[in-house]
Amino acid sequence: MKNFAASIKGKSPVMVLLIPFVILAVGFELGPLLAMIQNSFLEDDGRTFSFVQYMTVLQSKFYLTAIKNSLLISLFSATIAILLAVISAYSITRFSARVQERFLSISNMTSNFEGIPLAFSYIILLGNNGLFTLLFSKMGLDLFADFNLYSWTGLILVYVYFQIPLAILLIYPAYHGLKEEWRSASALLGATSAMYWVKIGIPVLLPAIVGTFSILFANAMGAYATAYALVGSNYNLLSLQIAALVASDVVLKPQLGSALGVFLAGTMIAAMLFNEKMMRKVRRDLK
Amino acid sequence: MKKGMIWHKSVVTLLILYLLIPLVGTFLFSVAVEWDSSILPESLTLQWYHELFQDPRFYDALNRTLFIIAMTVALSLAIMIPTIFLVVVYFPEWERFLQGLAMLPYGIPPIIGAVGLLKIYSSGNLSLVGTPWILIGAYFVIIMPFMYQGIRNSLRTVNAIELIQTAELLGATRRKAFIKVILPNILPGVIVSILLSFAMLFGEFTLANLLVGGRYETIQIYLYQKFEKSGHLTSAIVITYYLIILLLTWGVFKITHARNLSIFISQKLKGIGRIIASAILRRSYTVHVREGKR
Amino acid sequence: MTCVSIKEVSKSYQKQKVLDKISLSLKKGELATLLGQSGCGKSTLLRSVAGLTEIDEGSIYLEEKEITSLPPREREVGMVFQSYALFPNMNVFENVAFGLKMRKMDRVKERVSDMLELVGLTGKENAYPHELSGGQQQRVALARSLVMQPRVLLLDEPLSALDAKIRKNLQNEIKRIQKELNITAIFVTHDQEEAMTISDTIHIMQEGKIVQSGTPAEIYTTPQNPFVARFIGNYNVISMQDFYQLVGNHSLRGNEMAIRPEMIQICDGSDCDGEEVDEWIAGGTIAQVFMTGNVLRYEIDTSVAVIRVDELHAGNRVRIPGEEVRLRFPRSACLVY
Repeated sequence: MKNFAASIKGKSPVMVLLIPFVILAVGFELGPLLAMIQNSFLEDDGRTFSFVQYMTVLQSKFYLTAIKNSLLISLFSATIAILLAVISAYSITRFSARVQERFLSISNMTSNFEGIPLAFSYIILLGNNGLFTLLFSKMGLDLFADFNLYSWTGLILVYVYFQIPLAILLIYPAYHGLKEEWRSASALLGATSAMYWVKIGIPVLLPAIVGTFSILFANAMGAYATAYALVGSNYNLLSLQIAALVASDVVLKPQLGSALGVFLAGTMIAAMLFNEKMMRKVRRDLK
Repeated sequence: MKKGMIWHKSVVTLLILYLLIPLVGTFLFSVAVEWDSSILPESLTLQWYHELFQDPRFYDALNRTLFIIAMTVALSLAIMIPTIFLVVVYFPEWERFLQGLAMLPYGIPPIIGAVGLLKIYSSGNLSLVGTPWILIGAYFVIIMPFMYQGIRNSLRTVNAIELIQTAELLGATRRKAFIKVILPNILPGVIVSILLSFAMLFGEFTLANLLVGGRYETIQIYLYQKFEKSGHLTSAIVITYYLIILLLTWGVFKITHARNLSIFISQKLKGIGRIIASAILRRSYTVHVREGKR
Repeated sequence: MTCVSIKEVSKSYQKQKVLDKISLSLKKGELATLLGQSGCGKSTLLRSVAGLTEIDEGSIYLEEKEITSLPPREREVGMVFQSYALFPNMNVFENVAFGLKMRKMDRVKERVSDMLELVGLTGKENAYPHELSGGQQQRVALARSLVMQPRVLLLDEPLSALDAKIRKNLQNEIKRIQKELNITAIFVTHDQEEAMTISDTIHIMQEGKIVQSGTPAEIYTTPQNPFVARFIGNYNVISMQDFYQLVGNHSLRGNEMAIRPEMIQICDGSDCDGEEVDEWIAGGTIAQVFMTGNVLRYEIDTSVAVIRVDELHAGNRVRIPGEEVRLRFPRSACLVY
């Protein structure tokens, strides 16, 4: 029905108007992707076809650690963020519409606080000479004595910070999918509040939770700016290593960087596929 | 119920504190003369802002950023509107393909994009690395999902296909129908996409740093360069920068409340499409409070 | 005088035949309805006349001129969509004037205000579509098409998005305006009642074919096949085997028989004793009663099927479920296929 009457010969002049889009999409989207993949199968000379880059990655403790660190930090930050978001988003829904809106605006507002400015902010607050660090040590609190912002825990803390607003904004609407009537109906049918959550609440929320989790995971895997500003190259993360290999001032190894890039892209695709699969498993009613 | 509310109130209060402390801290730092060891700064000053606004480098960086963003958005509008329109109306069989292409950048983090872009454009005839032009190209791709969704939804909301058919039946040529009927009706819906793109590109560091770096200093690069120097001055930059972003998102907020643009969430997008679509809304999500209440 | 004539038109989407050699013609001033369930091809046929859908085979003529391959713009047909398709950035006046301006016609103001008067929207010139009710919007859409004096007006389920009451109102209104302007119109609907009310001629479509054409009365009283019988008149359609068993008589010949609910008489007591030559009698039990106001609708369990019977409420007592009754089937009312 949609097929708008226009013969092929009538269409050809119109097709010319699509050319600029095709040029840009090929030049800046598909082209670079394919270039990266192609490059990853070349030796350092950039000419000879080989699997040497992948072999290097898989045999190098250093790069395997980078991948592992990135995976762990993404899993951890995504898990923590989603737990906090599920709890706090539910609390938000318990307030009046006006108040809810205000809370969400604040959350929404802070979701723009990421990357360099965020790293900076954490440095002045919790860095070696950070406000809180000094303040607490002066007050004799050992709370932050062992804390090092430029480490694993510090990165998790900052990652969680930029993940939470995103998680809330994605989870929150799902709570509106829970109708108050369901709760009433299940109560009338004799279910306790806990049973309601187990049998209805959580299953209905699950697709949103799983979907959000994979977004958060991918978000953390690809995060570069925050980590770069916070730890520079002092911490071994996949995204930082890729950047160092393709654009640092020292030694460039673009082919190796491409191979790592393919690994990174692979985890993204895996996250999306995981989400698809889970979605189908938990919600057979969604097609 | 009472007891429950105490819990919910504490949860939300803690959340808000957690989210706001870094912002407030940075703000206070930007107006403090010295601030080392007390809970609140001892004396306040605007000297850091004064210093910042005296710095020609700041204005240059700001101008460069605005130039790049404006060019990118203009290019995107000029290309995406006709492209999407033509595909929707004349080549519906290609729509899925276009959608995939337009949403793909959501799945590719900029760091991956940078690898391939550096490979293609760092040498040879197309040596664009280090120039603003490569950023415009790369940014065109980055904002493509926003632009696509905004334009596509606008077209759907105004029922573009029937409008154009009606206009044709009433004697308008396709070009006239597009200009008189389609364009004026979709532009309001596209404004949100434009603002979102502005806010997003304003905060873009990865590509700016890797593709261009200090050779064409944008606001993010400037911020990073100042990083090590003076904490107070950098705070002033962060706050100023952040205010600009807030202004942009506030604009989005106002418009999304005036017009219902988040229809696509309710339309049953599948799997990745749904995730991506919801991710897109992250910056303008508040609209769902009202939506959800209905 | 033939105004529209459609000859052997076929159209397929991905090997599925949506229109299968359809032919029909309309006289000047005639209002014809394409009636059928969704997916029967009625909208596709309408859109082919408008030029919005390309046809694979066949030809379409408008006042003796072939328009099969003309672009929509040059066909001089008007079309009203279910979604109204008003231009949201233009007010009522601008919407109605759009076509006149596109064709650079004169006396725009006069024509527009005449047309708005005809559809009863005088005074709404400056309102924007979103400020109008659904019914008003559809009137604007109607005015916008009519002001161009199209050779044929095409209406694609124009009333389907409206409330029942406004819908009834607009049906009459469209009929009145159509007769007043003596305009030829093709009306697409899936609602048989609407089709009965509004049409001069009804074409019933099924799977890309026209299965029956005729005046509303013809179609209602003599459906040509069981499909039409079920679709148009709520007929009881019974296989002949079942019917034999029901009435214990083999004198009807065919595969199926159909009878309208209002043609069956319910009787009890002595008036049912004797079966006349031209009728049959069967027994049953009242299963359900529906009060629709002036009509009592019964569903009656019999040995073979549930039979629907309509009875006027006037003077008849309301029977209750469980009551044993006898049903009289007049031979003249039984259609055989």
